[in-house]
Amino acid sequence: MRHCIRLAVGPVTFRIGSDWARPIAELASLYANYPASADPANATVRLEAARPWRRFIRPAVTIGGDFTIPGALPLPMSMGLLAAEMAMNLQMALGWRRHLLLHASAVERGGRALIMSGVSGSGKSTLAALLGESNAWRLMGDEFTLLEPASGAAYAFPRPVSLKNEAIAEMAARVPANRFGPLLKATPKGDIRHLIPSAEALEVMHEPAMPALILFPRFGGDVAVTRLAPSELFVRLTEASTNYAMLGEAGFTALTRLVTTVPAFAMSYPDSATGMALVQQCWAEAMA
Amino acid sequence: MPAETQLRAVSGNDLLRVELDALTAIYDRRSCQTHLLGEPLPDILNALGDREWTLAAFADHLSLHFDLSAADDALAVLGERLGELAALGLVSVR
Repeated sequence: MRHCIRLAVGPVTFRIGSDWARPIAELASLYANYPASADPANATVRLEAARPWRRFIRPAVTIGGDFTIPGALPLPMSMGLLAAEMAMNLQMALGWRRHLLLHASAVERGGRALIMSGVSGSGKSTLAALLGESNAWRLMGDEFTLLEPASGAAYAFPRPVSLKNEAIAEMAARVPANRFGPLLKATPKGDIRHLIPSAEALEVMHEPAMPALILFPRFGGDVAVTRLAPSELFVRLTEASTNYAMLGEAGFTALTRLVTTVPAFAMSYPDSATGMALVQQCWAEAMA
Repeated sequence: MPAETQLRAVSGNDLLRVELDALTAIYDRRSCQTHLLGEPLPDILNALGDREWTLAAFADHLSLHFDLSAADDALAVLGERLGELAALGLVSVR
């Protein structure tokens, strides 16, 4: 590829190639403070022109790499950063075998991890970002939480937090402007802006944390907190894992251990302040 | 399921079992599939053990431990449950 960059996010080292300089420059800026990795790349991403002339005429980015989605529509060059993020997520979701992958955000406090899983729009990214900006918590990631099968420990995957729509202004009021990527307007997922994790979170991104609490936040509606039985948690987490079936026995052992040892709650909340208060309350109870 | 149907459960070495709550998670090493079973299916698997049975003999065996006689259609109900286990590949039926 004409333009390349290597990025280390937690235990994953991506090799990203592009037909254009712009997405690589944007990635270099967004990941400037990430620790360098001497490890060989273990995931490859390609940002390519769908046809040779599309490098120059109405450039559109098609995502490729070790794994691809046949028929995926290309994104305009202005959304190159989103294309890169989607491609990196795709390589993780389909290719990563070292850990049980949960589609979940995570934060750490005192060596223990709070894992938050939910569909897009549930608020798991925003809550993790808000907690990550408080002094007590370390942001581990907003998209994937990596569970080591042998130990059950959670490992961070702290890519820049993908803030969407209203969450952008909410975080912009709290975090200096130099920790944000460019505003990507009107993407297929709405407005998106990336928040770079704090320097402290990046410095210790290789340090694991033992899971202590699992939440399924749901933004909107009245306040409700419901304890989840292990069997319901098991079903929800198999659905939230992109590689459970691929890991076979190791995945089964890791997930059954998690659901039988860690308390879990479904949590509805009408606004971020209430959500944060509920999280702190659940955490305090889990630690009691 | 006829009373003379031959039954055998998957060898216990091929299964990993974890009791979650009312449901039991079972991982089948041969198929790499995970099953979530509710009562009485895990108990039936346990009772089948590692030997072959006819449906009638197995029903007799269970009646020593459980009150099956209360239901006239106990054999039919047991046959249905065994059919469910067979559909999951956890019991072979001949």
